[in-house]
Amino acid sequence: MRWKTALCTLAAMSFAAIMSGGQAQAAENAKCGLSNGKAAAGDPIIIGGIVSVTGPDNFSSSGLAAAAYFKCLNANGGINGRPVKYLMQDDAWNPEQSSQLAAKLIRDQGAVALVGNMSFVDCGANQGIYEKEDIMVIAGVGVPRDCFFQKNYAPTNAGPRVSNTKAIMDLAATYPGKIKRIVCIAPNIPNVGEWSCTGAVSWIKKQGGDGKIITFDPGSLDATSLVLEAMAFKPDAVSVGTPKGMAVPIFAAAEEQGLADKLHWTGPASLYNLDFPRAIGKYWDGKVTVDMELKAADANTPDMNNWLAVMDQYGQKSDPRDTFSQAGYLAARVTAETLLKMDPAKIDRKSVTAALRSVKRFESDILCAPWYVGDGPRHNANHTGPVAQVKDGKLLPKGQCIDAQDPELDDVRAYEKTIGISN
Amino acid sequence: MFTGERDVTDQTLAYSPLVDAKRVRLKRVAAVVVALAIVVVLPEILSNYWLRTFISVTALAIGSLSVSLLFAQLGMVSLAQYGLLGVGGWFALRISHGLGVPFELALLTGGVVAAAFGLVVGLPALRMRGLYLAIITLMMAGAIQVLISAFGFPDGGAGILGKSTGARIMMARPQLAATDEAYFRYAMVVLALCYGVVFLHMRGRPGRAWAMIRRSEVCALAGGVHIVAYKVWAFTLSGFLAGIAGGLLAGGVGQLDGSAFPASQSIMLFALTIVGGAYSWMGPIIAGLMLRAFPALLNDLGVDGNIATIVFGAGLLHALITAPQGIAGQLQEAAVALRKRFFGSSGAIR
Repeated sequence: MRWKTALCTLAAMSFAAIMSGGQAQAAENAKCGLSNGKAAAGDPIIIGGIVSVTGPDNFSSSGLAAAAYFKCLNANGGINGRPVKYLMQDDAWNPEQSSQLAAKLIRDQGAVALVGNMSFVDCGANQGIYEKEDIMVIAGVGVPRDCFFQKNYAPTNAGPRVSNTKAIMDLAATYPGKIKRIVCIAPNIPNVGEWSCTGAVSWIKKQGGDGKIITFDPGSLDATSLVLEAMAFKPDAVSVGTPKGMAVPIFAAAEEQGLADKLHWTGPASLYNLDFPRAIGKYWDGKVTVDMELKAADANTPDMNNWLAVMDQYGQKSDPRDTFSQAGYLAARVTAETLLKMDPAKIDRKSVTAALRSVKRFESDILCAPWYVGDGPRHNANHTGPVAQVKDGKLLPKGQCIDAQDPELDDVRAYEKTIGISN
Repeated sequence: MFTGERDVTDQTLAYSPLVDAKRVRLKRVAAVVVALAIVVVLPEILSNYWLRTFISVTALAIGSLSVSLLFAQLGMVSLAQYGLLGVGGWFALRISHGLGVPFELALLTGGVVAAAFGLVVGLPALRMRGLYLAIITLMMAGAIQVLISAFGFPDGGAGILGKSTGARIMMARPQLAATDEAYFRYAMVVLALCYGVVFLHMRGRPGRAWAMIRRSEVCALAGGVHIVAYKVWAFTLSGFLAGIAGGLLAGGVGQLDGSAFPASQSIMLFALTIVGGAYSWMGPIIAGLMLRAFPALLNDLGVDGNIATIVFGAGLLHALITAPQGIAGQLQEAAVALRKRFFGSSGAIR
């Protein structure tokens, strides 16, 4: 059970858990879809969503944001008069239950698409039914490898592997010629742990360096042993690819050895948490960088503010305003805007899947680069994002966006060239 | 009142009243007709949500059957059975992906390998019983959990572990049972076959030997029963059933998740087998329904499925204090009471 709890915390691996928070002000009025202020009253369009509410942790803020957006959409004309009936289901971190819910949403309820999914088990458990029924899932948060290797599953987040790669790339860019040997530490969770580090190690090897992956059982973390094992490799940089709760003792063990000034320390988005700088202490001030997958909530840009306005006006007060939520908002927005271009009388699963696959460029100031679905065999459109630095007890964005040069993304980039996203 | 071992260990040696052979035949025919009706009609009326739920129920009923076989026949407690489901599922997936063999062969392979693991789990049973055996088997379930957590389940890749570096490959279902409806029927047939295997054992030499061992190992030894062989065989058969259940689960979803086989689930499986009724053929089916259909019902009603765990705890207390025969025993008592009420004290139809 303990590793399940760890697993849940690792959710943050694909995203920042809490955005630098809430300072940004919500825009005056939330804008959704037609933004005409008229409530939609036609035949509802069924859209489903699978998240994990009960179980080791509540992992549902992406679905909650999608629900808030669709509520806003329905209050503003819906899909050309037709409201969206959003059915969010709880898979309780249970693959069997996830599979039952997918059958319920797709076959029993007749959902035309799934939006805002956020689950560790959904991607693996439901790949078969998504492909068989040819339904598109515009997920909010994908974590395991399965979420990025399906034709019918397109997450708006980047995933832990891309995040680790960007974290190391940022260090290499900040200290040119100094980062040649890296160590990546990750829990040994199947389809998440080792895979999440392989991108960073592959990248450093491509630069002529060397890398080592150290995995550990999250149920029996021995931080000092991990640090000593890492140091035995004589690294120039260490990426602590763990949930925040596990990273703190690892940083404490490194502090005991006085390692902050001897090498560089970084971590993926799982460490992007408001409390993180305080948790690791002043010793690490200015000495740790953390990857981000989406821009900070206080960016004060139009779409960022609209997300906050949607959450304030159509969400619950208790709904988190974190990057999981941003991802769910983006997933709902891209789906709604796609459906709005369709003939409302001809909206069915087949036409919606085709329309979503034809999304070749979706832009938002929450994202660093255009996002897309496309008709490729897999989806990992978000691979560009900023990096933050621990400074004065805060996580301060460093400014520029970094594009992960993970060799595993070669096929993704090749596809992007065909649709004109990249050159 | 449940007074201890005497009450629960003498089931198969208990005196059975002579009954009308015609009535027994009639009951059997009725049972077969009802079972066939369920296999044919149920998939047609169930929604897809419930269809998938009942596929899991069927697999878990086989898992519970493996627990009740050991507990009811030998009085042995194994808390490793859910782990053995994982073992069976792992090998069924690996064989299916690696060799592309028919589903039946993958299922049998999972069963056979889990049987070998079951044999290992059962070795301590040659020297110990009760609490000590329970602890040892629970530790083995923990070991299986650690291995599965570390390596995960095969998903179509190469190498011993079968881990894919690209897209996950789903386990192929039987050719005749590609749809959920057909697969549910297929799972029901497998469940019936598993029951058949267990009943054959109970009514044959192994069943008599197990009954003697359960009553007294000294008596069994004096009676010429090869205690080691029959104990080992029981654990092997139990492991085989658990492995088949794991393979069926893998076929139902197309894959298995590394987080789904914790040692705690083995305890839950054992507890609900007791609540369902380990001494009755109905018990494992009731246990399967409680393990999967009850939480699914709560979820369908929008109630937190975790409440089921609280209900299970209360059910276990109830079973231990007042209903050692479990829900199945209570249902049978209720049926007898109803028959007496409507057809007289003998229960015979007037």
